[in-house]
Amino acid sequence: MLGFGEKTATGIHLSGYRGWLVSMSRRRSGTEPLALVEFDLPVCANAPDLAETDVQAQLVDVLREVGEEYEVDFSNTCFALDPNVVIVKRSALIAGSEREMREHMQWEAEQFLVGEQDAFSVDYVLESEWGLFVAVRRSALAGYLALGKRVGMRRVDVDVPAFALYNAADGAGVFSSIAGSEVLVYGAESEAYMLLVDQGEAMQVAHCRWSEDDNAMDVLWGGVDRLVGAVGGRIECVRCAGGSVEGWGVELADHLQCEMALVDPLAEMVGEVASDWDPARRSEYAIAAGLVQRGLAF
Amino acid sequence: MIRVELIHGNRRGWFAQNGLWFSAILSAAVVCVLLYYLPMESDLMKDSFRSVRSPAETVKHPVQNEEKVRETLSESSEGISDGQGQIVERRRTPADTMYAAPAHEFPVDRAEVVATAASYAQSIESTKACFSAIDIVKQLPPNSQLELVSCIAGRFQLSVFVTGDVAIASVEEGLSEHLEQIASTVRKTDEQSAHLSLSGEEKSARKTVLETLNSARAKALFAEVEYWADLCGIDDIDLGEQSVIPAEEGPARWRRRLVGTGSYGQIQSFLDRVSARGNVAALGELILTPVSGADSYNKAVRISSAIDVSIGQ
Repeated sequence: MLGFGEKTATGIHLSGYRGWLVSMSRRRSGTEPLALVEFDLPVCANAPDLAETDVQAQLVDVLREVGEEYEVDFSNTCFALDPNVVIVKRSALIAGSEREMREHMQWEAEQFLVGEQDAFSVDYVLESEWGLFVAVRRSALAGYLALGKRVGMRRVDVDVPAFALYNAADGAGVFSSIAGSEVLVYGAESEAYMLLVDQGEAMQVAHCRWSEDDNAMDVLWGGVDRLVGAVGGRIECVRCAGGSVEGWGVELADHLQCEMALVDPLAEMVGEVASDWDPARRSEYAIAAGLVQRGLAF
Repeated sequence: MIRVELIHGNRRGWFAQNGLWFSAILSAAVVCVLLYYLPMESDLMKDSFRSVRSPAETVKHPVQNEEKVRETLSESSEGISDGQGQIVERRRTPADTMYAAPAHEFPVDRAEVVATAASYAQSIESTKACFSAIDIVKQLPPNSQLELVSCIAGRFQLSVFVTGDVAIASVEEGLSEHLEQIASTVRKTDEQSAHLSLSGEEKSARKTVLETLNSARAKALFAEVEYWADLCGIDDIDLGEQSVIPAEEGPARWRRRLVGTGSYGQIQSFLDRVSARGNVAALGELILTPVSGADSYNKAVRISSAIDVSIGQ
């Protein structure tokens, strides 16, 4: 039973055949993790497949199983979107009011999605000098909504994985001390999400994916190199999270010739759950924890 | 915190995000007031109930409202049929399902476009229609100013501002060399100018089956495409991130968007280079928008294109 002013939220991050779930509760004493679960998926969780009945049924079974075993409250749940169905574009802002800037971003999005605007859900992130428009196919969103409803989630939400990573780092108090440009990187088994941050503001989003034939580090370095090109390659720090992060994170920092830090999404948390885990292990839950931050802020 | 609202799109601002709490608190306050006054001020409540209209009176309103709606609809439909001096001419080919859009909108059958795009995503064939875009722009009359041209899966849409007389028949005739099933709408913006919106299908669109590539070759090809754009003199090039267009049957597609700014000539030579590799790369979409501004004499057009390749499993 929740006390007055207490709120819980759950974040679910699916990537390939793996899933991560974080559930947290916000009380007056602080935010406390309730459950951190990593689990296998019977099917690959690509967004376009979520609408398929058999794929959905298998994912529903897994999520219900995890939910029952760890007593997860699914009433306020946020999914990380498959990056393949997300379009994020940066655009210079015009001088004017927030309304005028939003109209300008809307126009930019229309030029990009011409003829298909109705097929996309679009929103914007307005920073001081630029804006990011984010577009996701409505058909893909419908897949997440349908999955959530079948699991029994009362409120289903979605977020871009790179933004969830930013929010996880933000929740850990990282951005209070940022000056210059940094890259946030989350590495999963076959893909990585990246976000270029300049003076604490989100500047560019990138995603790369590799197959068994590829050298994952080559693909990752290529992706990060293209991303940091936007600031002339000058990076102060790369903040890493994900599986085996201590290995590839150090190599990536060497490659970029900058400092490396871990994103520990539970750094500012209270409570016993995962308190004895090392930060590298906790970083694997960074995306799911960032989704929870969003759910708790609502 | 970064927050985008992709599902709950209207939940921005304090009230939108806290509206449920606000409503609940307000409702609770109303209930408390009623509970306080109910036993003590029963006369007041009786008066209140007396002041409610009888059912006979209340049932009239929906009917009246319905009549009002009908009147409004009838007025508005007359307005459209009369044109009120706004619609000069509206032409439709029998096969077209174009809707009459407001003056500021492009007349697109959205369902059709989405369906076309969806079917294109399933296809392993590549249409070459987009490569003719600049040839089609050249067919526009000299007193016209292009606002936008888009080509998606062989379907063209043009938005043009015309000063002086609009000889729509001659415009259509000129474009019929490239397009068929042409549908156009002209709206007078003032005495001297008009807005022309036109759509059509590429005539005898050629299609080719793309050769499948492995991921390394596909990446190399995308890098090459960016290099071609640079070589052709296109500025502000931005090669977007790779997205995957899954297909139910056959190989998946990888798509990357390339945007930039250049003259028609520079863009044409870029399109020619992409066309020359038509066996492995397809131009899935092409959007051209003229750039306004003082320095737009040489760099006149913004190109947004989608380059597709077919990936082997």
